[in-house]
Amino acid sequence: MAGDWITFELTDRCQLTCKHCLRDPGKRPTDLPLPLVRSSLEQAKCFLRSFHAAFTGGEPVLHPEFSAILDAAVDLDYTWHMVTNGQRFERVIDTLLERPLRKEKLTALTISLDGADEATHDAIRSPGSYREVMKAASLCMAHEIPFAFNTTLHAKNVHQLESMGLLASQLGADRISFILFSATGTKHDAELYLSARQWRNVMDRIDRLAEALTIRVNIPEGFHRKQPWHVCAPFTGQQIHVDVHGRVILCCQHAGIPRDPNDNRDIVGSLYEMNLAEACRRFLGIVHRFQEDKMLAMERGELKDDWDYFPCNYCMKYFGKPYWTSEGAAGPSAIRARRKKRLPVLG
Amino acid sequence: MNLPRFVSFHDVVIERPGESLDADAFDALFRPFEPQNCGNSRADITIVVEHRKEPFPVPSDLPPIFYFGHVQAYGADDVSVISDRYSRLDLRFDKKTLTMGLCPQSEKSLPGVTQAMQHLGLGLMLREYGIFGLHAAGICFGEHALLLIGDCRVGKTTTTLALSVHATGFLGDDRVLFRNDGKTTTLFSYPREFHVDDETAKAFALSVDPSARSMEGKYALAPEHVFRVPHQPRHRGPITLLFPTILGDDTSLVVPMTKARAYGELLVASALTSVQGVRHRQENLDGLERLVNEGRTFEVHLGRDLLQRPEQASKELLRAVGVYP
Repeated sequence: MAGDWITFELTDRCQLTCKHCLRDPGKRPTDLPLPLVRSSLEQAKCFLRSFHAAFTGGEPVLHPEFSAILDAAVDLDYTWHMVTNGQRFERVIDTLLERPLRKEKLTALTISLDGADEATHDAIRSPGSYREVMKAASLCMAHEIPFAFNTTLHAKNVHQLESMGLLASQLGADRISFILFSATGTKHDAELYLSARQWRNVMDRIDRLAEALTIRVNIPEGFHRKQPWHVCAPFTGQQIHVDVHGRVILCCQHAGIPRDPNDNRDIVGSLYEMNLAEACRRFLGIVHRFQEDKMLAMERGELKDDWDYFPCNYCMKYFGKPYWTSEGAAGPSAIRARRKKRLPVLG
Repeated sequence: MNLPRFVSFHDVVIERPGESLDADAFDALFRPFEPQNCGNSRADITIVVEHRKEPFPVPSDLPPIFYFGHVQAYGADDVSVISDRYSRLDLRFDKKTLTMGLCPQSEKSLPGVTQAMQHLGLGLMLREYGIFGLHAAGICFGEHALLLIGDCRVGKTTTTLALSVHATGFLGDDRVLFRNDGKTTTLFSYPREFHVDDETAKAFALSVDPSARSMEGKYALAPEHVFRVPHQPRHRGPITLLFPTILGDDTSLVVPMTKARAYGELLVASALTSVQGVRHRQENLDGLERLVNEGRTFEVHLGRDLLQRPEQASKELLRAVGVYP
């Protein structure tokens, strides 16, 4: 249903340096201000009748006012979930236990897991990260908090696809979602690349795994579609996305990713300058233009590359972001300004 | 020291033999429990001692039910026999008697094998009262109890010692008893002496008598001399089941464990008393299943940190399983 969710990229702070990270943040850490989050939640509740809030990042827990943001959501009767890297998870638990309503309204904590063993996971994310994820899963089990895993698949961990599903099941997760690795515009793209054909094979494996496991196995947007005129969930308006700069954007895949500086077609508008209703109207205009252009391209027979049948990849290409081709990654390069001179993050 | 003739061991009144035996495993076990004045009424379990010069014969008319270490158990409807081919324990379930037949070769000091037979015999007899045993260490943290389950040499004692810094009471080091009333599980202590190796003794600054080293290279210690926390006879409340393994990494790691796998591990650790031919087998299996379903279950990969910095590492371990000391 349109307007169900509102998603906030709360901060671009993060403790890890994952190879597949899409975000290309600026030099200084940026946090979404609490008043803007509260105001957006109020507006979404009022006219979209939204009932669910999602928090991403960066690592959302590192937002200096994370607790207050949770309270803003739950006090407005939102259910919520967040995507977390699982680091120093005791603090998340403390935050949840501090006020029971926060835990009551939580639907699931989605923890990033990128390998079925310590070596694979840590090689992608950061040393010590796997153990923190296992601890996070233990804490969730101990406190009866529902949790799920998000796994970004690529050349370095795709061999463990089935093992990761089994591990998630054994750890007591509600579900595991396998995410297709999008081009980042960094040097890592080359080593993590899988061809379009390999991805179709991966999708078959996920389908078979889903039949074998008792937990849910999700395949989010992005995988191959036979019919190219596919309308993804964000483009149906199901989820409204607010990035760390307070702008409504098309979806979380577009947040903070390297871009052509002269191409702002995907930025709907800043919530500092307009209300949510106006942003939603503009959003519809962008989506309609995109769909119209895609239909034209289909009509002209321009969808020739295998990768054009991967909806998110086509979208990235259309909006001037890094994308995959048969030869590897293309599009703008990441700057990774913060990693050149690492700045301290809160936490 | 004169030990009481009657003792109430978790509400089961046990009558001990009139004579005193050196190295009697029951001396240490019953010490923390209240003496009982039975008057003229009969005890629930009566322990009797018999001495013979010749080894007690192995029963020829009873089928074997399990083998444990150096001893063989035999059983029929109302009787079980545990034999090490010298001494033998006869359990009469109809008469509720446990007869310790001691071969004079052991004189009056019971060898380790016989002590193990005593624990085994008592365990089988307690099943008549709905009390079952777990091969586990048990330790309490306020309203929470932690059971460390596993076979020998998985690190139960080391972990228990490390965790005891934050504990409020201990149930046992190698065995914990439980009873399930169909709704909830109650844990009962089994404060028998426990055994540590050199490395653990050194890490926790335990004073051991080098001459008292067993064949397995471990030292027997009375729990009250080791634990800084008091003996806790019973626990009713949340239970967390930990299944330790020693991996030898720098730091310990906690991972959730499925109920199915935990039940399997629990069966392995309780294999002796859940085999075909042991009385109350189905009740035991049902109780184990309920215990797993009631509790939270985790696998613990023990790292060197538990020995090198036990206080901090055990605190982190507890927090990872949701117990906040």
